[in-house]
Amino acid sequence: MKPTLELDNLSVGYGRRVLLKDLCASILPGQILTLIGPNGAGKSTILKTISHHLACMGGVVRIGGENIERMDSCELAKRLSVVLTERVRPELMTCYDVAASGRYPYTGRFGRLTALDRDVIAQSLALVRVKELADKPFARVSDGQRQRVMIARALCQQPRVLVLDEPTSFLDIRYKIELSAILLHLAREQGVTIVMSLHEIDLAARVSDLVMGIGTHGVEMFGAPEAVFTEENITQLYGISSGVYDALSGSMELPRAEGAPYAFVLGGMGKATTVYRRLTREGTPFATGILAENDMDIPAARHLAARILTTAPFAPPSEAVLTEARQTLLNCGALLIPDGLEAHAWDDELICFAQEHCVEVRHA
Amino acid sequence: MKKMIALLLSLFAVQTALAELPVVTEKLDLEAAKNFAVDRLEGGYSLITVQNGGRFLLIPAGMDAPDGLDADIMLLYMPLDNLFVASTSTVALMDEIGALSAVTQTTYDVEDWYLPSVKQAVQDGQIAYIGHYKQPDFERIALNPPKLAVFSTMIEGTPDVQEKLDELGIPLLVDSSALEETPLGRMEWMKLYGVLLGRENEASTAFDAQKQKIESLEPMQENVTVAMFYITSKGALYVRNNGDYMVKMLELAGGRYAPKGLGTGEPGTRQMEMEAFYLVAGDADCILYMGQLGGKPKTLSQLIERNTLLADFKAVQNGRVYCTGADYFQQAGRLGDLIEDMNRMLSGDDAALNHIMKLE
Amino acid sequence: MKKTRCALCYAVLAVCFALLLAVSVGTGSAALSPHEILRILLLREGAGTAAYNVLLKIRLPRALAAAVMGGTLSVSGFLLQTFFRNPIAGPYVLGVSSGAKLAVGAVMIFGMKLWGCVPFGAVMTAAFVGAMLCASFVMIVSRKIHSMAMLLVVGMMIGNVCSAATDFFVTFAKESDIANLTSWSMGSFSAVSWGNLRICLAVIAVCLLLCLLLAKPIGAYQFGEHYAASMGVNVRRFRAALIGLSCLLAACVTALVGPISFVGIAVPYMTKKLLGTAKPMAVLPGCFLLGGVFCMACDWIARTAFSPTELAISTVTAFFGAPVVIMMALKRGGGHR
Repeated sequence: MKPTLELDNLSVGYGRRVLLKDLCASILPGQILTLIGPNGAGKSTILKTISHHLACMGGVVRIGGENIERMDSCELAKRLSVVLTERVRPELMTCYDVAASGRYPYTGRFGRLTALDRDVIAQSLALVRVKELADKPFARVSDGQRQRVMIARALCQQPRVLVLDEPTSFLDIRYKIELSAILLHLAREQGVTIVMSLHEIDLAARVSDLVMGIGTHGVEMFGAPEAVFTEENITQLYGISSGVYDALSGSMELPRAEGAPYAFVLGGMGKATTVYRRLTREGTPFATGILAENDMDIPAARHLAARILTTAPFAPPSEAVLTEARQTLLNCGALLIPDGLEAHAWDDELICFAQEHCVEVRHA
Repeated sequence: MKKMIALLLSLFAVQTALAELPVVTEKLDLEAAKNFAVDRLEGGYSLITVQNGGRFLLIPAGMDAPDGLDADIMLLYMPLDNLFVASTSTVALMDEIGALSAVTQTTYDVEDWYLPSVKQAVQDGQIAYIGHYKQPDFERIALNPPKLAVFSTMIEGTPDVQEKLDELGIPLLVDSSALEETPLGRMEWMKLYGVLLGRENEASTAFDAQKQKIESLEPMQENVTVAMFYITSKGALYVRNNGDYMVKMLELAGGRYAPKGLGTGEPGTRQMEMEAFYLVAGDADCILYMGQLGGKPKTLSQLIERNTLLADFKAVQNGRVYCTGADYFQQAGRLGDLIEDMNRMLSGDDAALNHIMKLE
Repeated sequence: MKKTRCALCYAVLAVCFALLLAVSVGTGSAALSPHEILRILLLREGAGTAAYNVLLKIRLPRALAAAVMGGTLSVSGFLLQTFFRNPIAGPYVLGVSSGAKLAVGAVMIFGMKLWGCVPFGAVMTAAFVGAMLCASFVMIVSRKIHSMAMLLVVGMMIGNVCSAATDFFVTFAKESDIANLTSWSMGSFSAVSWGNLRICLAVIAVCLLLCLLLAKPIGAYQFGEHYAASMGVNVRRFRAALIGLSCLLAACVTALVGPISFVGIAVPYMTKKLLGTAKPMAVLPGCFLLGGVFCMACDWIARTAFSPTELAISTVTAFFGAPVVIMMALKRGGGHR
């Protein structure tokens, strides 16, 4: 399959300053490329260069095999459209009018809409599920709806490449999910190549086919999300020094509470994670155990606990581990039992041990 | 025979050619006015030339225009009994020669006239007020098209009004009497209006009467120096130039103009700083203040309010401060009277003043 | 539906336009019966009579001037308001009227000194050249500046520079010259002549047609420069065309009748409110019609309210236009955003 978008040793920058050099990528139709990275690293610059808002500082951008520099702006508009972060405030326009403006490259001298144009607009509106909003004033609908109308507008240009600059920034979680679904649909069903930048790396991990990480040293990683979204990569890319990125959940954890553990949290089956977080919030260092290695509490425990006691999956803990557990418990001030925990035998044992040795036992 | 016919034909041709250009028989005798000339032509026509203001052919009543005239000469058919006059001095001159009834439209309303006969005429409706000279009501002009429009030199600032009058086919005469260097020259324009309005004798008589007034003034015994100026509401001081007609009037009245070296003989006023003015005119014996342009003060203290340095002037301290009356600058036809008044001011004959008032 | 509202508004505006034209031509100091008016207008009877002169040489050119100049200023104002995405922008925001006033002042003062007279053609040419020079300067500067706010500031500053230069010349002028310049800068439809009007109408007609051709990119531009470019608009050329046309239109009006304020700011706002849309294809003709209606009404008031004394046209337009601008500012500031 011929690639829709090719970056051939592309250098991008502003004015005379080159920000990034020798970018290479080849994106097939229907693929989603997401740019991630800290602010100011150059994600927007790349997007602006691809959409020809900035001139290429070196190298070539090709869409469908043709160099965008050689394309007439109308031609380019029929192949690539954008959805930007800047707030748009067209006066007195309905959502239909906003979407209809996307037909600009196709309409005649005075912009009259033909039946074909109307069909395309209707389809685009239906695709992003804003058909009911068509006659509402654009200024009055919600942020999420507005964003979808802007995507409908971009779709009316019938592009092969859709460029979005942080499309989910102002949206709440419901709209983030909806938007991602729409983008996926566009890519899969319509074969549109999507290039976007995202701050939400959890979203990026789930929706992208290819991820490019742009850091302070240029392109630091490029590939499938599975390869890119590791704890080391993300920590290095964003320069995380406090707190941590959890690759499994795709989300973050706050820095653990420092010091010797005060509380001992019985864990397992995902019930302890909320307790870990609460203790971290309160600044109480804690220990936790005894968790099976494949338990759902393991990721949070690894990041937040001062001490963690584990055992192999589907096997009871060894004597050494139990001893260690008891030892740790003795140095703690409290034993916390998370809500809904289905206690194993060793959990009950630890509870008795705590009670015998005057360690406070309470429900978390 | 053929030669005879040829000769007769050529004589005839010459005769008709000569007949096309009216011959100038005499020129109107002017003593002092330099900005207009009247040439009497054969057949009773008069060719009027106004400096920078075009040429006019005055055609007596009942006659036709002669052929072969240059295109730029404007034709005026007598009687000129429907005039639009936007210049106060012109109206005054016409009034002086008894031809006020010829004026039908003007650009000054009742309150702006200080000549009693004119004021009355505007009030009675014999002369219609048709708006400001920059935006006259062209409809009224077109409804009753005047035979001649007379404007002062101020029309140069409104070329669009000039064009519009041209479009409506109304001849325009620019009264340049204000550009004359001498008071007699200014007044002599009444002779022009005499020609135009068929009142040449009245014009001569009135002019000679005014001239007589000036000539019969007794020479002054003492040297009285006078300063003439006004101060605007913004505090700007304007002083008459040495070459101005008012200074000449003063000299004819027997006085001397206090400041020296103001200008190189051109008419008009110039702006000065008060301190500089004090240096040249502080010890003038008399002050003649142009009231209409400078706030119309009625008392001496009102005058001093305009600039406190005035209190240090010798004339103020000696109580010889005078102010021009409301009609002073409209009395264009009675400059002789005004000069007489100046003479009275110089000799201290306060009780007999007509157009000047003393500020107490 | 939007379309019916637009159509209805246009019908009303057209009727008002025709009505005001009729009123302007039908009323004045001269009492002419409608019968007479129609005979003269349609059959061109009575050439040379007073009624003919009044109607065809005084009232008709004046009414047409008021109608067309008012419409033109409104279109010019709309173009600049779109460009700056600022409803306070007017046709003179890029220094057009200051440049014109400077040139006219220079011509009046020095023309009088050197040649003793200043024909109206010279005043008109000076105003036009002064306006376009100022606008060209702003356009050249605008190549380097990309922020709209900065460009507005530059325009205003250039306008101020021109005003300062004008004041400088004025110090060498006589009181009468100053008075003439002041009265020119208040604008007047009073002595409009057919010859000059015809030239202006020709230029304006061409420019207005070109504006219609710009309607599509203006619509795209309402989304911002970046989006407009991504839709295929050649932003550089578009900016130049927009500013150029707007200034050309404003310069033509200023040359013929002097600067007339508030029409270009208030009317586009009223038009958009009336039509309920900001689509250029709809607003441009609407602006022209409403601008003509507004100006004709103001001029009619100016010349008949205290006849034969005429009010300055800018006084009347300010009286009616300023409250509209204030209302607009209140609505925007008080509402959301």
